[in-house]
Amino acid sequence: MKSIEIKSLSKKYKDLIAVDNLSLSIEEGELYSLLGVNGAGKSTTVNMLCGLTNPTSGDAFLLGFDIKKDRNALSKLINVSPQETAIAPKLSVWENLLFVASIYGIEKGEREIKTKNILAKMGLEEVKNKKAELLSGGMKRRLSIALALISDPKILFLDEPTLGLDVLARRELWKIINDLKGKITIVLTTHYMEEAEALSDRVGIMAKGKLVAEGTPSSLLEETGATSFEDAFVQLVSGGAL
Amino acid sequence: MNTLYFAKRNIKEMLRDPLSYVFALALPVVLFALLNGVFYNPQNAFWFSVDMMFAGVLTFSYSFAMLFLTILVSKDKSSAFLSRLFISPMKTKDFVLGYLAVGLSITLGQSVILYFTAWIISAIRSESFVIGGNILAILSQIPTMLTFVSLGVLFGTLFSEKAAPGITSAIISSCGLFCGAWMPVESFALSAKGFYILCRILPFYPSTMAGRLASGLSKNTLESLGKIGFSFGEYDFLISFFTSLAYCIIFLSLAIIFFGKMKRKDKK
Repeated sequence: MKSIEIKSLSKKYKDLIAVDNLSLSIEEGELYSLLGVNGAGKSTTVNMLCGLTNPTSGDAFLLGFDIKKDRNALSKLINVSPQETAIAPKLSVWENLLFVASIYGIEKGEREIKTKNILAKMGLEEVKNKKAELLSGGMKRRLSIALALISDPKILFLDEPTLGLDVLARRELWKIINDLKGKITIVLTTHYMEEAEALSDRVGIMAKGKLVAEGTPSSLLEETGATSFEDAFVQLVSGGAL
Repeated sequence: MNTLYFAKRNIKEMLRDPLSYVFALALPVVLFALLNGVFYNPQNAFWFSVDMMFAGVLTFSYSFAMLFLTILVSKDKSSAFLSRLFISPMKTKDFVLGYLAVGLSITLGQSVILYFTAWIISAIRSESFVIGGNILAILSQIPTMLTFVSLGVLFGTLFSEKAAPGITSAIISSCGLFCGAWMPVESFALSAKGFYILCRILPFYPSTMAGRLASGLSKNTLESLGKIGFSFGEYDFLISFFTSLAYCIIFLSLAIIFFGKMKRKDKK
C-alpha cells in the first residue's frame, strides 16, 4: 500500500492558485522531499495533508484514510514538526514531551518510558529540565521534532526543519532524520538543495503550485545534465530560462 | 482527559509567568488597599469603604484575567503551538475548556485573595465587612468571571500577539471607568445621562451592582449615597445578575464559534 496518495489536489484562494492539480504518491518508509522556492505551494500541500486546511478540489489518502473524511483516525497516525518552533515555552523539555504524549492517548506508565527514549534519541537528556523558551535554536528544533515523534507516527511531516540553524546544528539534525529513514514515511519541505540531496529517497520539485519534476536526486541531475543539484533545480523551476 | 491535560499545561504557563502575579493578583489588591486607605471617610466618602468597593474591585480585577488569557491564546497561535495541537486528537471543546479553566482559576484566586485582603483591611480600620454577604457577592460574579475569560479567548483568537494587548487594555480602561467601583454612578443619572446609560447597559456596572446587592448592602444605603431616589425596579439583583448572565452567554458563544473557525481555518 502506498503511504501517501495525492490525486489532483488543488487549493485556490481568491486570486491565487496555491496548489494546482497536484498528483503524486509516496511509498511506506520513504523520505520524500518537496522542494521549491517561496510560494511554490509546499507548505500549503503539507497543511492540506495534515488537515489544517481543506483542499478546494481533489483528494489525498494517507495510509488508505481519506484526508477529508477520516481526520479522527488520521490524527493518531500522523504528526508534524511545523516551520515555526511549536513548543510550550514555559514548560520544560520533559513536560512538553509528557504533555504531547498524554494528548495522543499514551498510557501513564508508558509515557515516561517513551519520553526517556525520545530524549536519548534526540540528544535532549542534558536539557530535559530546562524551560523550552531558554533552549538554543537547534535544541528547540530537536524538541519540535521530538514532540512529533513521541506519538510514534506512521507519517511525519517536517516543514523546513533546519531553517535558520547553523551548519553544525543542521548536520546533527540530518543525522537524526537519516536514522528515521525506512522506519516511518517522512515528507520534508525545504529550501536547501543540499538537504534534499543528502536526505531524500525521492524529490518532488514544485513551482507555482505545480509539480514540475520528480525523481531521485541523481535521476534529476541526469535528466537536466546539470553539474550540481542546485543547477538542476534552477533549470527545472525556470524551465531552462536561467 | 485531553481537556484536563491542556488545562494543566495552561495553568503551568500562568504560574511560571511573573506578570500573571503582578497584574492578576497584586494590582487589584494594591488598588483596593490604596483607594480605601487614601480616600475613605465615613462622613463624605463612604464609596471607598471596604463593603462598597469590594464587588466593584472584583469586577475590575477580572479584566486582568482577560488580559492574561488573551496573551496566552495569541502567543500559542503565533508560535504555531496551536497548529501542532490542531492535528492531534484534541477537539475544539478541549481547547476552549482548557483555556477557560485557567481563566477561571485566575478569577477564583483573585476573588479569594481580595476577600481576605478586604477582611484584613476592615479589621485594621475597624470598618464593616459582611463576611457571608461578600461570599455571596463573589458567587454572583461567576457570570462576570466567565464573560472576561471568554473575552480573553475571543481576543486571543481574533487578534495577533501584538494587537491583542492593546485591545484588552481598552476593555480594562472601560471597565475601570464604567464599573462604578470608585465613583457613584447613580449621581450621574441627571448630570451625565449618557454616561449613566452606558454604565447601566455595559456588563461592568450590573456586575458590581449584583455583587453589592448580593452582599446585603441595602437599597436605602445605595439610594442615599447616590442622592437620587430610585424605584424598586431600578435596583434589582435579578436584573443586574441576568444582565451579567446575558453578556456571559453571548461572549462565551462567540469565543467557541470563533475558536472553532480558527481551528478549521478556511474549511468550508
